[in-house]
Amino acid sequence: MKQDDLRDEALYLQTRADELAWHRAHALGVSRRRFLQLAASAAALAAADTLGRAGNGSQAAPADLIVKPTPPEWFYDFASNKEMRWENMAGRGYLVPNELFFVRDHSRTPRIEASTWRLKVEGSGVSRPLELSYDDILSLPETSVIRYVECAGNGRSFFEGAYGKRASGTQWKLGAIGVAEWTGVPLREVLDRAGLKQTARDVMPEGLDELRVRRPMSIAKALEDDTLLVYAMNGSPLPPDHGFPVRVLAPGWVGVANVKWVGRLEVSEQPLFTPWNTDNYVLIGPDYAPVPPAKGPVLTTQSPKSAFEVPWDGELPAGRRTIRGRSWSPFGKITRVEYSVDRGITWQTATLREPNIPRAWVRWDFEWEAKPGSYSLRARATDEQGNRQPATVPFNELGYLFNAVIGHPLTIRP
Amino acid sequence: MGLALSPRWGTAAAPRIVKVKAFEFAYEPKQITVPPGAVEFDVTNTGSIEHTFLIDDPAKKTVGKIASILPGKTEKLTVTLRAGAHTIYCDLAGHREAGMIASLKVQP
Repeated sequence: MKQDDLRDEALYLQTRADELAWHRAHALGVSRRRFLQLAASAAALAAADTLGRAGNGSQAAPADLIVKPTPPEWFYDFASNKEMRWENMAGRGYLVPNELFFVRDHSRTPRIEASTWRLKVEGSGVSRPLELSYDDILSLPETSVIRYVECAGNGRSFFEGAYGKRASGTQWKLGAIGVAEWTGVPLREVLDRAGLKQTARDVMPEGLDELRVRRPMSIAKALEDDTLLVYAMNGSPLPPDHGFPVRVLAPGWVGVANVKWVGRLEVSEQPLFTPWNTDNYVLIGPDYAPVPPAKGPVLTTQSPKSAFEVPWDGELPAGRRTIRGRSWSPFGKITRVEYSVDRGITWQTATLREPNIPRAWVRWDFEWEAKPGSYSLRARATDEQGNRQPATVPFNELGYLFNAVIGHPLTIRP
Repeated sequence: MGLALSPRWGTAAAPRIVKVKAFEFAYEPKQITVPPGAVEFDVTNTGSIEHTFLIDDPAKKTVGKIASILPGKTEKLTVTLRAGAHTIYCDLAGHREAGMIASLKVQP
């Protein structure tokens, strides 16, 4: 997609529709919960509405891996995984619209009815096991936060360029991330109602998808203010591909901890282990020692990264250009972004734009007198904890946490 | 169902070729027997989602890997195998647990 494709009428209208939905959701204010209840009771209808506003007019059949339309001008296609094309964020606001948000499905999107869905809360770490309906969840204290969700393997494809061998899994560039406003109930509210014991140690959300994603988290993470059971995304009921009816939000942690379609919470007084924290989502490689029973250090937080809102290996006309991008960190606000247009020989500081929300991202830009030629743009972010993107990242077999500074190929034409 | 291979005629120096299907959530065939030496695995993803293909030797050391096979694609891997019981599996999250594992016997 070319940089100026935002002039395309369909995309322009889509952008306006996104903005309208966003403003309407905000205007709903305190009545949002009621809005969500009404909308959720017709979840299939909501999904159909999303389809109706799709690019290419494509329709999703129940057999499809993913419910929402994922046209190639919006996403790179990896079957059940769809990578956001960064150039579509150029000129957009802070949030990623639901339609453009990347999808990471371990198998396929399950179609779940809110009316029959239940959340079980059980295990040795609670004294009053619970079973909650969707309406029960909606009746609990509500909070909204703006945070990013990012796949543990975002940037995986760059291991091949750095080491000459591929790491296993989807060969993402940098589009397996998105920032949204997530609305739901703090997880600790639910755990408290189940009689959370002082001795509880781990919480394991379990997904209702075909592979039953089971990714334990520490009780400390589960009790953080912004760890939520989410039922709305950017003011709309959570779309099926993003976890309808309810998903976990574990800000700053690798995407898999944000379990979608959650149906059970096991709360344990003992550490919990599944293949999802012993064999996968662990660092395996010559620089990482096993941590039995895990094959390597278990992933928790993501890592600071930066991306340009420019087509990958794309073209721009020569002249004065405003180059934009975004940077993010799981550890706090981004305080500095440096850029280089000469393959890392010289670096300047980009201008950061508000808002700059911790565990979300910051937008930045710089002016560039672009002359014809081939370029490799670089950006490196530093967060308020002093974490800066490194020059290299050790190889790991499953391709996680690649956050080294990379060259973004770009041609400036006369 | 097993698969035993004979040498390919007229190409004594060329690796033997083993064709494998990968899908949700199994490999076909599930049991493969080959003699020691070079083997080329042609792995076709006949499923709907992405898969990988790894071979671990009897000491559980990975001796070959296809890091990504998208649906409808065929990827090739050539490895030189020693005698022993090897394991084929997919290392994507949840896939091995769901059944993507196969036996590879290397015997003279």
